[in-house]
Amino acid sequence: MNESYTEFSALVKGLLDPKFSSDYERIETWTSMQSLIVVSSIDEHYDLVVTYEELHACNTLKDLFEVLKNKQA
Amino acid sequence: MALFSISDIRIVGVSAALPKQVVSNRDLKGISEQDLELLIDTTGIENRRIAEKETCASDLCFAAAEKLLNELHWKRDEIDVLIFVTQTPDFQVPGNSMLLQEKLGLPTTCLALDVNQGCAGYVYGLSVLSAMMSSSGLKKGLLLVGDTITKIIDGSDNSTAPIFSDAGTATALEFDKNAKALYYNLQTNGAKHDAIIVKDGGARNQSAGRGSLAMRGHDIFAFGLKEVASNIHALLEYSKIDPHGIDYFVLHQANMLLNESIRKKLGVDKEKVPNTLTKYGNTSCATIPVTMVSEINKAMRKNDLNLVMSGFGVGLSWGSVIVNLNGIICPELIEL
Repeated sequence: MNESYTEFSALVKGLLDPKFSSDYERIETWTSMQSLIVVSSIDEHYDLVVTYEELHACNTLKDLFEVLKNKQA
Repeated sequence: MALFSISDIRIVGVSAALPKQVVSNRDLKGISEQDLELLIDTTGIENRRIAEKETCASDLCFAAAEKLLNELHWKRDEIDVLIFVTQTPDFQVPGNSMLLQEKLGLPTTCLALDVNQGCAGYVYGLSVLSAMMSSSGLKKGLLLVGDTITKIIDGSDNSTAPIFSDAGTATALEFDKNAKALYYNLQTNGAKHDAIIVKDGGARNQSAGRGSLAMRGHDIFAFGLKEVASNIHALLEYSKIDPHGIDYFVLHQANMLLNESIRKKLGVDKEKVPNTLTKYGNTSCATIPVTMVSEINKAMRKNDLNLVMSGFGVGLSWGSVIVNLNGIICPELIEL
């Protein structure tokens, strides 16, 4: 991934309406629908499909960013 | 690799029947207003059709078939083969195809066969029937595809209850040496069989009683993102048909977010990808013919069209087909 964490974080923040997620960087606060929205957008932007296991092994958005970097590598 | 073509078979008619009863997702209980709004936005599903207690998939398919056969002016004793695709048969034994052979007044010389398939069922059923007719020279065949899937849904399960609807459809096929080839690409991944499953009530877990459908939504979503567009791309390449020459891409109506992602991967305009999720929800194996009848009825009756149809889900099974339709019989959607 050529993008920085700041850019990735901004992408996810733009997807998640704050009224649904108090802290978008904590994945445990996402609803199942929000997870699908993020997974869909990651696929569209980075051509990477995030599995349920991969997503739920992450605590923070930063963890997810690292997963994506490793998947692409 | 199940990438193949079938010659000499033409689709000559399609019909669909839905239950009259409309249930709105806006009336769902046990979910906050905000989450409900997000659910409707993401899935695209606002209203669903639920069959009455006494109505089964066989009844909906029967209504669709009766209407279609009458408009086709087919003589019942000319029908050589009937295939019924469902996961919600009337009985454990015998299959729905045998019941419908009698109910539709088809001759005892008719071959009747059931296929247990889910969301990819329309494409799989079409492949079985067209291959059978092409290789044998059987002249007239009927494909009935339908489910009353809401009968195996737990109404309190918010991962499945807001998604599914009931429907029955009928498709008529004819042997015709001048028909354009049908192209198929069919795939399976049984390793993920438990992503959508009714675990109880079959021979494996009989004592557990009647089961309900359980679905791991994220797994199905990831599967759809990964597999469907690439399956269609491979099919188009194999067929050597110019993708610009495809008039419509009729996708299984899974959920709006997934179908939109697939559409973007295919690089086609929204106008070429009809949608019935909002008004009818996910009618299981019947979504493709329901969407055809509901959304492109007039075009199918009047025009020469090339369609890609793609089904994906339970199994996991997925598959696509390219068909040419040239002025088919397509009655208006039936409500029962």
